[in-house]
Amino acid sequence: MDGERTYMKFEKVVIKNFRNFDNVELDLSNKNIFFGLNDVGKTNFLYALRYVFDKDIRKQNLLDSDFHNKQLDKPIEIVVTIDISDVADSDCQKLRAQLKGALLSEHNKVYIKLFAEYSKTEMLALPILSWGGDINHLYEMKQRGYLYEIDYVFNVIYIDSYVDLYSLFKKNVSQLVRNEKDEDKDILAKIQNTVDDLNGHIASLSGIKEFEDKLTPEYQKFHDEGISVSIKSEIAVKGLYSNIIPYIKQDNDDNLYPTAGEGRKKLLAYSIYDILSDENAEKKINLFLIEEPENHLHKSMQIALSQILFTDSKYTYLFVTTHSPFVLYEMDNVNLVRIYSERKINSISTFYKVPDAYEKNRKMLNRCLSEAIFANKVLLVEGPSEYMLFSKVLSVVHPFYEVDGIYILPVDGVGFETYFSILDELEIFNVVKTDNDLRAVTGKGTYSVLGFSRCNNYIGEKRLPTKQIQENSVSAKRSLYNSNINTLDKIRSDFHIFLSKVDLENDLDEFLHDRLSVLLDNDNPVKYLQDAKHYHMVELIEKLSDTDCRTIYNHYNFACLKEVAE
Amino acid sequence: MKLSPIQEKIVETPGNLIVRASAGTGKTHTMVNKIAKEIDDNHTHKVIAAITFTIKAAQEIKDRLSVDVVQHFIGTNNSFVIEEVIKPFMKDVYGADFDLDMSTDYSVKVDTFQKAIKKIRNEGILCSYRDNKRNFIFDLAQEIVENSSACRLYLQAKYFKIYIDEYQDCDKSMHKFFMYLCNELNIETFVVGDEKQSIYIWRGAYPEAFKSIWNKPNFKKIFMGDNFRSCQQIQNYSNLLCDETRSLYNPTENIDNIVWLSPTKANWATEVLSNIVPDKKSALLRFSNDNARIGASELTTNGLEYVYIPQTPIADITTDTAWLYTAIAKYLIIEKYSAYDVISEIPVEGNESRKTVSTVKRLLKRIEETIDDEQSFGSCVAALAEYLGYDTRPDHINKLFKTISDTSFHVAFEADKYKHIAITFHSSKGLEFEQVIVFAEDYRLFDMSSIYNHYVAVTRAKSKLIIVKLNNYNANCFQNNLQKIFSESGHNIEDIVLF
Repeated sequence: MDGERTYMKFEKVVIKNFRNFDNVELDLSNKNIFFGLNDVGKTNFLYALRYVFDKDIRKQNLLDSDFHNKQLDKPIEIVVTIDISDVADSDCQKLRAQLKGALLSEHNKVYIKLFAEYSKTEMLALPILSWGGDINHLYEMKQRGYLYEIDYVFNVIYIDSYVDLYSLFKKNVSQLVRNEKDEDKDILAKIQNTVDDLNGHIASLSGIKEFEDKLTPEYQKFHDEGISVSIKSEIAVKGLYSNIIPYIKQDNDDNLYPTAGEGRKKLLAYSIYDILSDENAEKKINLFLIEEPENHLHKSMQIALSQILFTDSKYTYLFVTTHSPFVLYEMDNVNLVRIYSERKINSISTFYKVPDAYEKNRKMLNRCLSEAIFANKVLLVEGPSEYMLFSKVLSVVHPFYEVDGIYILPVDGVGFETYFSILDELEIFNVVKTDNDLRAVTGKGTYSVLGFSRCNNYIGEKRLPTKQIQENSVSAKRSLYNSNINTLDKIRSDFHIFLSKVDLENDLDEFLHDRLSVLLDNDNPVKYLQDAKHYHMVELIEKLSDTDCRTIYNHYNFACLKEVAE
Repeated sequence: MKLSPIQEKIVETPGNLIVRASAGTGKTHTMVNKIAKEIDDNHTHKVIAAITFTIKAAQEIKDRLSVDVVQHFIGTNNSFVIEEVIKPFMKDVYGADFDLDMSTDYSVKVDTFQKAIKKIRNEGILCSYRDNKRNFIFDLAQEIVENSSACRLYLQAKYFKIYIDEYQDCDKSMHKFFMYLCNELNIETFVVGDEKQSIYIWRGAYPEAFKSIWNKPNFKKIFMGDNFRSCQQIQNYSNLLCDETRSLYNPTENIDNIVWLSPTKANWATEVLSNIVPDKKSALLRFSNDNARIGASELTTNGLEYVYIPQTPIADITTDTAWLYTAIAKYLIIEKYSAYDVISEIPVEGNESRKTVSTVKRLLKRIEETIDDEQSFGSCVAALAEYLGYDTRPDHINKLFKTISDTSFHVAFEADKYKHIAITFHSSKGLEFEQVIVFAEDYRLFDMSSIYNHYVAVTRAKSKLIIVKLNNYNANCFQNNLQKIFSESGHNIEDIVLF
């Protein structure tokens, strides 16, 4: 096949009448992040996928509580669409090899459908799986025991947020540790001898003997069946593997430490899942379904995990629920799925790729974005000065603004558009506060109206004039603003874009000049503030009274605050 | 059983490989070892197809493989193309009309490809050509694989290797199909066979196909000549019959393992019996069923009981249900053959997991209770077939009834039980006996087909071969031609055979 490889690609899922979901249709990609408030159904989204792909969940069948609002007269339907047009991709081949004649020459996609009707007599719904290249003509999958054909293709690795390292290790120890080489036979025999010796020694201890001698007649009082009780090491009874667990050994230190600490255990558990998935990787398609991986992990560990999840090729097909922005710091080529509740549960998604310009510095871009997508409302501002002042004002006027999901995002060097385009697609309400900039046109002595052009650009139509002007001054900016104030007000109400009359400092100075002069002990507060931006803004914020904050909040120049807060 | 160096080499050789395996060289054993190793070495999702000519041979491979074979294809060549090409992808080439249930019935004969296609569309029957040298099933599979990209991608996505047993029995259509998979779809192919054992030329088998692969540059070649079954003298006799094995001749001191008798029609049986050791297994191999039956009775009259193993009436049933008639017959005839054995013979395709043992047991019990009444017997057989998802036909049920009510057929289901038997050499393929009796008149040796038949018959013998030459035209042809063949390598019959 010529041209760009497409690989196998998850495309869409439709969920009908299942748990929280009446009827949702959602675009998917190979890496998907599900986020949203608690109790909106993130886990149920993963369950919908698990019912389709995970034999262990499917064999539990579906109960009346799995039907949306217990609507038992309607079936549950879950349909996943996967693009398999890349015939050279081995994952596409794994699907083809099982789909057989359900896929004809003209088909490039496979639809996998779960259908379940409630049976009143059996008090449950048996899932019926079918698949094929034509959504209107799917073929029922053959079953062998509780395995369906799809179970020979996909391997689901479901990682709970509270993964138990020791039981995970014990459950899989025979797969993880294989002592099958010839030389192992001798060693295993030696171990057996050692265990026998150990038990011999244990048995010869006087305390043990005494205990056994006491215990046996005690037991026989209850039940005389001609037995005796003996005390042995567990390894002799349950076998070698019952007795090995992972320990941590630090470099340059010969002592062993138990893997205490939930964070460390969790990372070890992830490493074990890694090995288990490798065992299957060439035979099956590994799907990673991960619930809130941030639990128990310190911020730095979450960021480390983010790095692994989004850059390791092992996690090709990833479905993660999370509340943590840190887990998203390294995200790229990922489908962001926001689940929200608005009378009924709904979802919306957008594909996010780190723009080429930020490829090398994606953390800078992702950090704020990761925080913002968890918010309900976002105020996008120019930089740290705005961020500091607005945080202060809101915390006075509206002390729980963060709890209510309001987030102030300083765009700094990145620019507004990168952020608000993603927020818009996720339908996260956002307000833009930007400066009325002018830019000198080289060699002409005129100035282009940069702030106006930016607004036109953001709203996608030319509402504001873009004719160059002759002068660059505070008063020129104010007069430019005032002569277009009606249009600018309309833009405020239509698009939630708030242009400054001049900039942060001048707009404050316009109505608080005297107060600023007093607080900062300076005749020219604008100049003072702009000279050492960070430092002096911190000083101002410390000195602003609650009344000052309310004045700012209620003023036309800072109406963006009211817009986002009310 | 340990592998010989040459068998080891076959197991270890990767890529396309053709193996020429003379009779008794342990070909099945080697192939099973090779399949097991290559399944074990494979770490991808892909599987293998092991393709044989008979259900019995497929079953033998399944039984001998100790690895889990659920996802792999092990079956006959026809079931391979029907299940993997025709049923799933015919609709892709011929349209949605062909998305239907199909069953095979090769007793339905037509003249043209078009008529056979119509049979499928109208009745869902996969039939055969009247000309038994042509092969409709494989012609159709070829059409489909060449015109359906979904089919080609499926086969490539699923199989990493195909193993084909008894390749000398392939006809031209099969050969073309298998070479298409190898050359056009680049699926690795392992082929084993022996043109000397080609006894189906009369029904289209095309030993040239095997030889043509032997000359292909993209195949490695290995010859297996070490016969582990027959003694050296019998090996010498069989090796001298064909060009390519003549060099294996290895002189022996004694030549009393092969006895040439020239008796009369009246005393042949006494003469033969004076050379037979009664407590070792022996078989009289004849070309026709009649002669095998008559031979058995004459030998028995003269003092040693020979059991004629007849062709059973159900043996010529060729529908998908054929296995069920055989299984029911075995259940009714063989004492230790239980309902569980019947269940174990259910072909793997389909949803066998839904069949409960208790229902099968109950239905079999009812059949057993009605063996004296053909009518209710028929309805009970039909009920079991229906439960298992198979069609029955009245004439087939009648054949089953004949098979079980005529006790003379019963021996056919337990041929191993008898020390001395008489059968046709066609049914002796894959079997071996200490002592073998053949008649010169059955092989005129005037063409390769006849020489191959003789080769198969004599290589059944482990330690003794008795050649009975009466005085008739065909037998004289045999003697003259045999002398001619042996003299090509400078030998006389008397050097190899004890007169």
